[in-house]
Amino acid sequence: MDKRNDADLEKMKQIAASGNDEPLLMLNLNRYIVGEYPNGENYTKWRKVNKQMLDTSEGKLLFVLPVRGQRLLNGISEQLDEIIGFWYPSHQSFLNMTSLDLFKRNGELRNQIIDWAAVYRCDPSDLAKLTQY
Amino acid sequence: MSILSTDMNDVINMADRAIMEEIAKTDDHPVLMINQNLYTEKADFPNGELYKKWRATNQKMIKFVNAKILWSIPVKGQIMHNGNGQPLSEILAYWYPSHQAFLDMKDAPDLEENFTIRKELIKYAIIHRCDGRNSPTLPKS
Repeated sequence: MDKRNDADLEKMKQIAASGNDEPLLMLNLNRYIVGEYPNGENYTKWRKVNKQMLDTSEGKLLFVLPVRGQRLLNGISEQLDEIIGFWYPSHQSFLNMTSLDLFKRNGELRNQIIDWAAVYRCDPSDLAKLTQY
Repeated sequence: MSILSTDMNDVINMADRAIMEEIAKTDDHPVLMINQNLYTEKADFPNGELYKKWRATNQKMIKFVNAKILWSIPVKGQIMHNGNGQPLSEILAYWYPSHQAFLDMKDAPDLEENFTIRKELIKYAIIHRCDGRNSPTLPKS
């Protein structure tokens, strides 16, 4: 089950209230329950609800990267199925999204499909270097 | 599935290397390597001398095969996890023009130094292999 990091949430609230709020990149690293990815019923439902949630908020889906393998490891390494990048114009916009009914539904569906996951809060200032090849 | 590298050094996944060699022979195309790194205190990320030395060496190594770093993103926190959480310092995306180009990096003059520095620099790392034809792009607005 997804576990929220309350200490990190508090940092986000502080940034949002600081007067210097800034864009936010959330990198989702997901491994799904066997049979769900990429065509399972609940995975498909989750992606649909996730899109509705983003459309209702100010967030954008930046990219979805299917993971094909693990090339190198150093320490305990969790294998992944997918890496998803979400962009928000501010920390407050992310916090606003968490009050939507769709956010709750999104979480319910995630708990039916996720085997392992981590969501990293990142500095998107380097996003300008993103390039299409 | 979790895999443990018991000596806490970089371990190359030889099974994945075999898959890459097969792709290079049959249906070669760009490959994207997503690097998740947690640095040591000695690295003093992002301004330490060791970190800067590694980035300079790493840049020379990948240039040998015409690869590029698409982005390097400092990690500020972890808002959620499902399973054991893993702190990270940085996530980097490396783009290679082909699987063969990645494999050819074994002949790069800076390869050995790159991995020597990593022994002091890396506390935890994993590299995920992704399809390089689907490289991330900027949002439209």
